[in-house]
Amino acid sequence: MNPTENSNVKAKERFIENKLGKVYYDENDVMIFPRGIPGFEILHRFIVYKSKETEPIKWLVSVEDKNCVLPLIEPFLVRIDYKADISEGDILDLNLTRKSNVEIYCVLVIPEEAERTTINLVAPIVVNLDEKIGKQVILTTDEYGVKHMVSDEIKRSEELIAKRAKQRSEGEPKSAGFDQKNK
Amino acid sequence: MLVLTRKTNESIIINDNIIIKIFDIRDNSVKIGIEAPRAVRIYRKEVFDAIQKENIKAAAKIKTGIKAKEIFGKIAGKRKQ
Repeated sequence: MNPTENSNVKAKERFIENKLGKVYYDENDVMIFPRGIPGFEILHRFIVYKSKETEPIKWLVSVEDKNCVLPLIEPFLVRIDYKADISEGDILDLNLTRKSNVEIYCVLVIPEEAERTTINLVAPIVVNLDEKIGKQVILTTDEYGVKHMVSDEIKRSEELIAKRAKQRSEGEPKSAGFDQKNK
Repeated sequence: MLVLTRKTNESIIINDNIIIKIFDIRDNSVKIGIEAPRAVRIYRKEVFDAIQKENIKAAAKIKTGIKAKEIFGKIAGKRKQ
């Protein structure tokens, strides 16, 4: 067998068997969470697993503990005007610069009755893809809490989308030039 | 744990660069001012505890993910339009 092929096979050989089944991953996909995440402080190695079956829900998967598998969602899909003002301390921890490739996710709690799923908007999982560092940051805002009903948030976002669309169509003659970009 | 007694307007200094001052003591609550470098993270502990609790509750199976994804479908589609 040629050595290149062999190393490719090796790279894909890593997997963890957890509630999602056999999750294969590449060592390059592993993000280091130096302080773990609240509730799982002793775990430091995670991947963001993108399952076709559950898209747009993704998963924060610990590659060290099969019990730590958390469903994630991009917060902007739930609250279209979501804002994450990351504190200076967290920027330092995550080694963030203006050019960093960053992904932001929020943790979902999915109960038996899936319609009652909640989202934690106050503590997003932020990953710096360049440095392979991740952290669950805590935003210092009173606007977000740990438990927002997803259905309420989506309803709010839909209303906001409708309101903006209405404003756009009413204000069209004036702002036609600016609108071009969005179409 | 170190326990100190302080009066209104008295302070303590931690690590040379963090000052904690007692502003007001009334009934069952204390108003505290904290002066610290910007990189120091300060949270109410109950927020931290709540996050911990939610993370532990969040741990889920793939089946629940398949069930729950439907509720996001609608808005994801709308955003693309």
